[in-house]
Amino acid sequence: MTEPLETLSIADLGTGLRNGSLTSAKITEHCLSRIAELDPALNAFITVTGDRAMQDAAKADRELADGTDRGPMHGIPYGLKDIYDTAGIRTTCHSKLREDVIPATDSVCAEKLAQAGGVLLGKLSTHEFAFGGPSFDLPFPPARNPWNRDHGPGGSSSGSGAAVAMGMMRTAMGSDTGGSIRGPAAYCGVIGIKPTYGLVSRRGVFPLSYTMDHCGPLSKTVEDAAITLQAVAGYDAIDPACADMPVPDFRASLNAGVKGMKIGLLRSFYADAEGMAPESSAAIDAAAETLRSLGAEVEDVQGASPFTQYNSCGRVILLAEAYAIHEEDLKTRPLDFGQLTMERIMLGAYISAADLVQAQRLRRELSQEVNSIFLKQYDVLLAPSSMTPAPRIDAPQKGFPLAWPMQTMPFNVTGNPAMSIPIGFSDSGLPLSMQIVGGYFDEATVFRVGQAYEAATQWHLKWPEPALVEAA
Amino acid sequence: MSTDDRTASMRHAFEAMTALNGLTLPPERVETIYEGFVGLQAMTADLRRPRTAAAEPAGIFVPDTIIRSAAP
Repeated sequence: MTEPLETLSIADLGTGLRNGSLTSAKITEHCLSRIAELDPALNAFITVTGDRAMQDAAKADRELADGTDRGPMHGIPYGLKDIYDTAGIRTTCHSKLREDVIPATDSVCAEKLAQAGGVLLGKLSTHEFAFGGPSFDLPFPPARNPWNRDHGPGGSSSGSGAAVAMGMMRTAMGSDTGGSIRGPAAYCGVIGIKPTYGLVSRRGVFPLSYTMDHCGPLSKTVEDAAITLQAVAGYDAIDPACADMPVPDFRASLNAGVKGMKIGLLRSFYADAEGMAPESSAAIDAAAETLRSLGAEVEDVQGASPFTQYNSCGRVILLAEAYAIHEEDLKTRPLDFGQLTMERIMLGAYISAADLVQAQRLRRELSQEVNSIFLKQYDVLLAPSSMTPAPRIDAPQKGFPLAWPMQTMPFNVTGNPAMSIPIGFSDSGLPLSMQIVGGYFDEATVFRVGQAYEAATQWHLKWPEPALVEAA
Repeated sequence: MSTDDRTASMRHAFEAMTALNGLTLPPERVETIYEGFVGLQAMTADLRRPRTAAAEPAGIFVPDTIIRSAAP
């Protein structure tokens, strides 16, 4: 294989591993070399586990040589957002409060990826406790956007987005409570899927909001994401939210196309929204047109509740649950949090019991709207991921911004699978994106639509320029 | 209620809830958190709709699985 290794998909790497043209050690060395070269300017990593990675790779090569094949992730390097517990490896949540915490056991996702033969490259930057930043008052610097390091990579799975976009790895795990997988995927120009609530165990992942947290991958391509999600999905009896149901083969219908599909565009979410960038809106229209040209019927969804209601519902629930998690520390050592994290989570103290119950009543109504009305009419829905390209990393941050450029919260409220996919670039060279939203546990259809769009547009073949990052 | 009265009432509610919750806000952060509190009031107003008493909150509770504290 003569192509640069970072441009090979997980499936292509797997072919090389099995026909003898590649070894996991060679792939891993390549990733570690790119991390050493490029990460000092991007800060995607908090901890690089180079020795562990080379041991994992050597084991994978031995097993594959001996005829033991653990599946598509066998011998493939990956990273974990630094809120996933890893036995013997510190898990900081990017916070002074957990700077030296070394878990005794793996999170379920870490365990499953190890069982699948994956190679752990390290732990990736996040916004503090998956909710703050980008912040400069934490023990570790914030990750930066590979397309322009003066801009943020989005959050909170910021290191996961930056590392995948820069070709340090093909796939990484993130978490998403209000858009923390899809936001960085959107700003970094990669795939990010928040699966159905209950598909992936959250056990061993530091919580932000119990009823809104989701674990899922950020990956270079739709197929890479499908392979990664396949490795981590499935029932965990100890996670009270995990669903006991079979996991389908996410790649079985990946290339079946969209001909004959009905797709609803949630235009009312963003058409009149303050702050929607014209180039973002135009890119979504162009993406809808591409799907039409592939044989899908795309039309505007009628009758959706205002986006602000979805957003208010999600924000109130998130804040109440996050405050409950951090209450003791917020009372006893509030200044140990970064400023943004503290100012945001603290607001949960001011939510009344009646407010929270009203939010949960609204949540049921909005979930019924999406699932009993819209997804009875359409196979999938489209919506923006972000209303703008990535903002500058030094843009002023408010403690509690009411206007939020992300349009990801509705599907944390409803629990539906939602995937962010690149749909072009802004005039300033930053990625643009949209979400593809499916029915509960129908990730396969989300991937199928994404694969058809990706194959038709090829945005995934564009890469940030390493020279610009190295020169920084 | 005048705007001044409403502002004073909001400030009073904020200070009372801060005390009731046992919070000691760093003085230099109080104004930012208060601004967030005011914004939050607008959001919580957005949660109310005409509903009957039968409109239940979200949440699925399956009796045999709701409490899981140990591996099977």
